[in-house]
Amino acid sequence: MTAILTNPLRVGLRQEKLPEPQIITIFGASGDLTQRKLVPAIYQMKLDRRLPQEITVVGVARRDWSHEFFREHLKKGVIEFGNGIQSEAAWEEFAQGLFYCPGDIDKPESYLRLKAFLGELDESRKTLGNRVFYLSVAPNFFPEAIEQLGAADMLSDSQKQRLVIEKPFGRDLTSAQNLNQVVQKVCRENQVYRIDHYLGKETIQNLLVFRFANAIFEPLWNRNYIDHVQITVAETVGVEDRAGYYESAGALRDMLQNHLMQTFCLTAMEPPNSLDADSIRTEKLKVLQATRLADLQNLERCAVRGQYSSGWMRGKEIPGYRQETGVDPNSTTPTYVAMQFAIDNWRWKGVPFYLRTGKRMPKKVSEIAIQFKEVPWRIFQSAAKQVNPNVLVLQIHPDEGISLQFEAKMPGPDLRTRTETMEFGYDSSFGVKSSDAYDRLLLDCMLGDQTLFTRSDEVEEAWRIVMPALSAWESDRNPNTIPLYEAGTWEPIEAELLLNQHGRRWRRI
Amino acid sequence: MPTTLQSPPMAKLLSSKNVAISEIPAALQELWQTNTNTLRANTFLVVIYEPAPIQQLLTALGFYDGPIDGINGPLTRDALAKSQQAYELTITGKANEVTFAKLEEAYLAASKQNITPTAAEQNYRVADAIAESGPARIVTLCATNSPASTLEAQVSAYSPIKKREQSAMLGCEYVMFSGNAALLEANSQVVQDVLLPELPLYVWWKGTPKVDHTLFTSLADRATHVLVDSATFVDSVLDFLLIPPLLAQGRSIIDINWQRIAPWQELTAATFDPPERRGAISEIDLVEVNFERGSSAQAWMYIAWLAGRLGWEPQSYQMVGGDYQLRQLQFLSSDGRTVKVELASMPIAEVGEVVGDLMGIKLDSTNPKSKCNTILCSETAGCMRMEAGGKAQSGLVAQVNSVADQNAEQLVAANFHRSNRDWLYAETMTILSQILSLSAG
Repeated sequence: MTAILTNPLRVGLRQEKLPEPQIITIFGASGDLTQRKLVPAIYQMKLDRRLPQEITVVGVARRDWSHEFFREHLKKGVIEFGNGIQSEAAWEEFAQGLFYCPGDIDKPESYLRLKAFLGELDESRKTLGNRVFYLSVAPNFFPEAIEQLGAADMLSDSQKQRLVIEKPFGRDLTSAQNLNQVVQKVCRENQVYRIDHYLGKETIQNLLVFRFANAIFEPLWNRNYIDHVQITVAETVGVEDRAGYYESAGALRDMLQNHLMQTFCLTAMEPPNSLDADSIRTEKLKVLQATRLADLQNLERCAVRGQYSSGWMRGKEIPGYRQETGVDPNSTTPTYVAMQFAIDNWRWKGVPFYLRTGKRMPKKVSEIAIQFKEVPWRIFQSAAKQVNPNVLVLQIHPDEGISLQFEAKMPGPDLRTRTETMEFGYDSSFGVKSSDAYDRLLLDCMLGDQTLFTRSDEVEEAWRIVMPALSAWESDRNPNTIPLYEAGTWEPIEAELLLNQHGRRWRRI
Repeated sequence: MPTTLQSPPMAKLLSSKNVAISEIPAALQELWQTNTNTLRANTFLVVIYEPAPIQQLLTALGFYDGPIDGINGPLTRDALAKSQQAYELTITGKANEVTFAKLEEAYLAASKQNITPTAAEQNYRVADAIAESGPARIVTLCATNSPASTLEAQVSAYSPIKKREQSAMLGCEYVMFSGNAALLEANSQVVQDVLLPELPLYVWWKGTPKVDHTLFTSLADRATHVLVDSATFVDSVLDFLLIPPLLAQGRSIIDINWQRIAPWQELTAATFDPPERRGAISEIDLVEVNFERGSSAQAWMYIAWLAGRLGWEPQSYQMVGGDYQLRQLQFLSSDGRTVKVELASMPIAEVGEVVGDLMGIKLDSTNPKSKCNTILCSETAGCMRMEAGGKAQSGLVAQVNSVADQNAEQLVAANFHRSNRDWLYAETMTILSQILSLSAG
């Protein structure tokens, strides 16, 4: 979208709640996430007057940095990866609230020193004891860090102290349960913010608005009118420099169990009683509890994995997954997963939900497609001699928006039809790009709104659904059994069959 | 169909009783000792300054048995309707002048005969938005016409019954002081003494802020926000000029009437959101604003907001008069064009709960090719007058529909948990005082 001037009438109209003064403590603050995402997002919110004056950030990591070095390091991040400094004076003021406290994640004395330091800052920055602890460290350090925070008595105030953890929340059902137990030992559920940045995306939130603020779609949103649902999250990139992590994760853990599952929940859940966090999360949990892989007796008919082999994209030859640096040449890590879910409840009995995600696909695209049932009897002839059921597409990326396919009459004397779309795009209607999900989620956490964060029981239930496929695949280490697809193509043939067996097709997008 | 907001039921913990000022703490203490399953909410305080003692009169005459809190909620309206029926007045449920005069007359007559009517012991049925928001203590200051030389005090307590499970009921104490204005002013320290120091305070000051009175300033200094309603200002022009100095002194003033124009601001902004209309925004140089006769406050705030956002400098202001009591304004835009604005006050038959609501906005340009033409109108008024002039075909017409009546109580209650200051309001008030000073000069 070309740059257009901001709408001057829009400025200041949004009445947002302002979080209380607080200290955000980031563990693993020397990492990329802090420099590239977190601090630029916090700084931009400060510039937009969405944060109080007293907002304070404390970085914790092993390296022996000074406050000054940390500030300069973050300033570089804002310039390179954020929206720039914009106002030197504003940055100076903001930088006064940035601090660095070196420490080891497994040493109790580090936590005691941090606790004392935060206490001093409470005095000088007037932050009233409000704390957010953001764990931006490798997931295997989560339990250690959480236990240490608990041991140092830094999470005992359920009103003022909050804990943020990023996915992955465990690597299977057992480890997720263990992590939840560690968390529950030291703090209450209402202090824990499990970030799944997909939930911060406008389209995902708009899904709730679309379904429950409009009276005309909800009556159709069930087994009587919907034939099936396809949820797609396709990436063009390969494993990049994350081979170390990705080898032990794979597409199922990295994408499907969290992002796609959350999208699925919001598409399929019942109307919540209200917009508060637990009403929505209770409905999400309910639908997860009713969900299973479609055919547990024949897993290969409802769950397919794949791995990209070498191929061509944009005129360049692309190495296969097993040839990427850091990847085991006999790796069985899936880079593609497709699954068919069945939901055993009144609304959805018999309606299949197909989910797919993969790397090295032809296009970077994410969408939810609701395919409606065909007309009972076709009285018009399609010009293209095709069957064209109505499809409602909620597009997440690129060009966030909603479109509805319908049949229209072609001009001319014959009554012949053609498929057309009604479209709504965020860009063209609101004239703004939807914002980065991170700032929204950070702000919600500071405000104490858990609606867009995942609850422990949701995480466990999501793992429970995929466990049969996960354990079957993990136990099969034979590198020849995993289906391959060429980089730059849509899926392995097995994934096609997943739908073809029911006379359906993946959408070509 | 508009949804109606329902208030939760209330349990009465302590019926109103008169106490001496020195005994207020003891009376409240006793209350919590006798009701051990109820805790006082540890939340925030509300002070309501009530210049017209309508509830007192209604209580004394036996029409009303709710809390004396200065809140014009459903109970008060029921009571008013009952009294109007009894005195054979037009039944409106609103405190108009005739009703008020009749009530005062009846009250005087009753006190002469030395009949002291007591409020009937009935169960409290409906509460209002303010009580539902869960304050710890509501302190009402009733300015009366009474010549008595001592301040009267009453205490009572209620507990809103909420849907959510809670281990104990949370109750709210009501303290009411009444006396004439001079007496209240002289006793501002007494009022301060019942404000628990550890809790945040919100002041709802009905009527014009009395900036040179200790009662007002001492409350404003202590308060997180002072809420006023410019729809009830006696003189919009003069009273608006009081606001910027208060804001400059660092006091937080929230005008709930400002929040009533939010739908108009939102729709105005929304019509320029699509990129293809965005550029046309700088072409606006003809503006018409229609509003309900009775208060020009909303119209002034809207136009000052628009001028501030689009960078227009106030140039001139004159009252033209006529059937629509026209006011004409001129601004200079940042690129040197003259912007003409006309405010028209429309006589209407049925004034709603709020006076001076906006009825229609027309944004237009002297450039006939401009795409900025926009008409906004309310559902009560329709767009007829705005559409006249033949440009409706090319313009964008939208209707402003509010879901529910934006009555004062709901708006006030919605502000209790807000902690940030509204800089847009401060900016608008600065521009507005510039405009209004033009007429003074």
